[in-house]
Amino acid sequence: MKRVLFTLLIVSVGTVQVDNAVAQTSDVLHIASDGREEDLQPFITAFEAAKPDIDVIYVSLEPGQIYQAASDAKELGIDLIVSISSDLQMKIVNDGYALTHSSPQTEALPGWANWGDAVFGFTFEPAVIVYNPSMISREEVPRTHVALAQMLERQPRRFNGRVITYDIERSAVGYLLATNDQFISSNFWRLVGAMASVDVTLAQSSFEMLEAVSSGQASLAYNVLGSHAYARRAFDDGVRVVVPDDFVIVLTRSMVIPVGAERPDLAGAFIDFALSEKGQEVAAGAMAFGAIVGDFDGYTLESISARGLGAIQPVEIGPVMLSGLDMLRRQNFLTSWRNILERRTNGVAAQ
Amino acid sequence: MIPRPKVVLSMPRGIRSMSMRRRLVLFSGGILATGIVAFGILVGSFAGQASQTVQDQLLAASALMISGLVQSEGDTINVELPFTTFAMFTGEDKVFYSIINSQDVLVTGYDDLPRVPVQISADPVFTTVQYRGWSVRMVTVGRLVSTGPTPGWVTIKVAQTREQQSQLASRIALNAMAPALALGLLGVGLIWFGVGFVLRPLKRLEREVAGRSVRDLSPLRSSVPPEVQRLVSTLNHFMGRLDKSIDRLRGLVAEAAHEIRTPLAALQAQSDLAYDSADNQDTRARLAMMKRASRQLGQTVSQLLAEASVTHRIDSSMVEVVTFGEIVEDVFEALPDDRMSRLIVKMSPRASEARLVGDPLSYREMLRNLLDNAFSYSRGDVRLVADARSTALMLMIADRGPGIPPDQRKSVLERFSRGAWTRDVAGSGLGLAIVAQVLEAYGGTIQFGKRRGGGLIVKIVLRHQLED
Repeated sequence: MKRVLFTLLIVSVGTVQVDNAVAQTSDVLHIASDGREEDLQPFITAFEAAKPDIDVIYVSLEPGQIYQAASDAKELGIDLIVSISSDLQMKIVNDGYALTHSSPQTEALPGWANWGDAVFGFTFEPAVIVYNPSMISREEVPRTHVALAQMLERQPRRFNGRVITYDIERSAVGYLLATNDQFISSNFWRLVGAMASVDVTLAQSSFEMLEAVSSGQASLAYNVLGSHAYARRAFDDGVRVVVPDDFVIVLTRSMVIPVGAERPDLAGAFIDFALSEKGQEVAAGAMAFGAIVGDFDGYTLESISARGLGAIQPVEIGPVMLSGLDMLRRQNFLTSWRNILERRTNGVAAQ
Repeated sequence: MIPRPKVVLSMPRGIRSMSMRRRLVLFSGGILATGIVAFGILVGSFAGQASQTVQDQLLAASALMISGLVQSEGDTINVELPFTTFAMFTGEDKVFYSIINSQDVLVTGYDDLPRVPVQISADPVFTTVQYRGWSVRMVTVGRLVSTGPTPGWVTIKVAQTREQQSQLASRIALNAMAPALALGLLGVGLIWFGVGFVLRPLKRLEREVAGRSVRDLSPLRSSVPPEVQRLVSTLNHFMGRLDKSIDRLRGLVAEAAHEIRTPLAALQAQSDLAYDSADNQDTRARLAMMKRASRQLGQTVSQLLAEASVTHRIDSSMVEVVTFGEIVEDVFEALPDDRMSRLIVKMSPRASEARLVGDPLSYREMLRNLLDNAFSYSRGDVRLVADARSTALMLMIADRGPGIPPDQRKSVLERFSRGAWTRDVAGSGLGLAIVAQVLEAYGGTIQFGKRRGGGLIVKIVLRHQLED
């Protein structure tokens, strides 16, 4: 298994002078993530600027591999794991594969973003609706989950093949968002049915969905991570962002120090930096991660919440997530999801 | 100066015992500490039980919720855990669960949770086990499901680490112990200061005893609490007995002195006569020694008598008013002519009229003894100077004798103490003791000084009553 995993790893170095930097200093922090390297790069750059004597090596993980990486952290030489899949991060901690870390910065975190001083959320990323303004006018764009379902139900031909969302079987984030949708809204399965009726396209990442909307392949994307959406919106007029008015699910990118970490001190320093004013300033900046603590110009908990009228529902990190990760429940959930998508698709095809 | 007798309050080492305060504090502190420890053990066990019950109830709620959702689908077991299955575990404790079918095969959850016998009851069973290096509390619940031809028991296990439980236990224990400890400390503090309050009457008693003169054996007058009343009355009774026996002893001395006086006078007269009529040189020398010895004896006896009567009169607090002039006159009258001729007197009219309060005989004895000493220890003139100011009568007697060395000026005031230089002078060693006794009784002072040109000066200061 380890060998298989090793082949999954793509190791790259976050510093400019690759070999020299590694050779000259013993303070090297290995950060592993299942996200895109560009996402974390602004934090790493700022961290290295603030701590010139620490170099960061970025270890790229395949989606869904973080749990395995945590249990094999020693062999893989990983000091810190960063992922948007806070449910898997929680499971890493629950199963005893994480170290604790505590500082004034971690104490300032809201309770839902810190579990057991071992998982630390450092961004504020709402799930939003993205649309292409040349295909849906500003007036008709749905502002609630029910309105979205109704629009798709009423105009199946117009939106056929033009709606895109997460493939929750392949995307851990998509699954996490869907289970939370289902918990909050009794209209969830109706919305799945409506999307099925327009032969929804399934994507593996927010990036893919944004590409589709921007290029006009899709007119609307559901459950896009707000961070990516806002960052894209800043330079791309082909996308517009809607923060739903009924409820907004908010995820947080989180950090965990695995038990096998060789330099938990450096990992702790990175955590403290990411939660510090400088780190949160990066989160509030162009990448639109959203600062979870502090008050900045840009994307913050307050400014993002103010864009919609809905109830902000941050996904709380804790044992409550265990039921979502339950193997049997996952199977059942995915079966229901698959059944709805296939039946409706077949039905539409039969018409 | 009259050395005032000091009451020495320190006890001999062997008898000294622990202070009452320390005794009480140690004793009650010990009882309190034992009580608090016992209370702590009780509270600790109660807190453990209470917090365990809280955790058990949460575990049972979760397990029973799962149990209620177990469904049979043909030959298999299906459970769709609701979102809220583990929502009750809000703390930082880790949570584990597993669902095992009747064939002991994992349906879902953690496969490596400690094995327990397959449950055949729906009642929750709680155990504390080790799992992944943690001590975890685990609940096991059975659920009867009919799958296939025969119904079987599905076992549901939910476990949680015990950090929050032990935190809750210590918080409960601490909250319960803090007031107990505070009360204990308060109790010891109260005892510490309370003892001071309780012992205040004893302090008063101590001050009264320390403040009275050695000769004062009258009953103690301090009011004391009933607990100490017995001690005080015993003490008073004892002092009364002591007073009586001292009285008897004085009476005996006075009587004995009186009884000895007459035969002694005869002895003196006979030895004088024998000395005068003896021809033999050897016999004369022996008779001279006998004469001196009998004179010394006579002096001692009369001094003893004088002292006894002075003591008696002072103790019985005879109070009269007499002028100093009268006292001087009385003393001079009794002086033999050869001594009178050596005396030079300078007395102001105010001194002569100064009114002294007390026993006239005692004053007379004092003056008589002072003059007697001056005449006995010197051969030349003796000067008596007296003057009076507003409240003080000053008296000065100067002789040309050997004087008293400074280091012995205190000891000469003691009974039967005589200076080393006085061997050849007949004396009893009682004279200055009587003087000291009178001065102490009437609040006077004595000072010894060197007379210019050789000799001793004795300065006496006495209080006198203002002319009304």
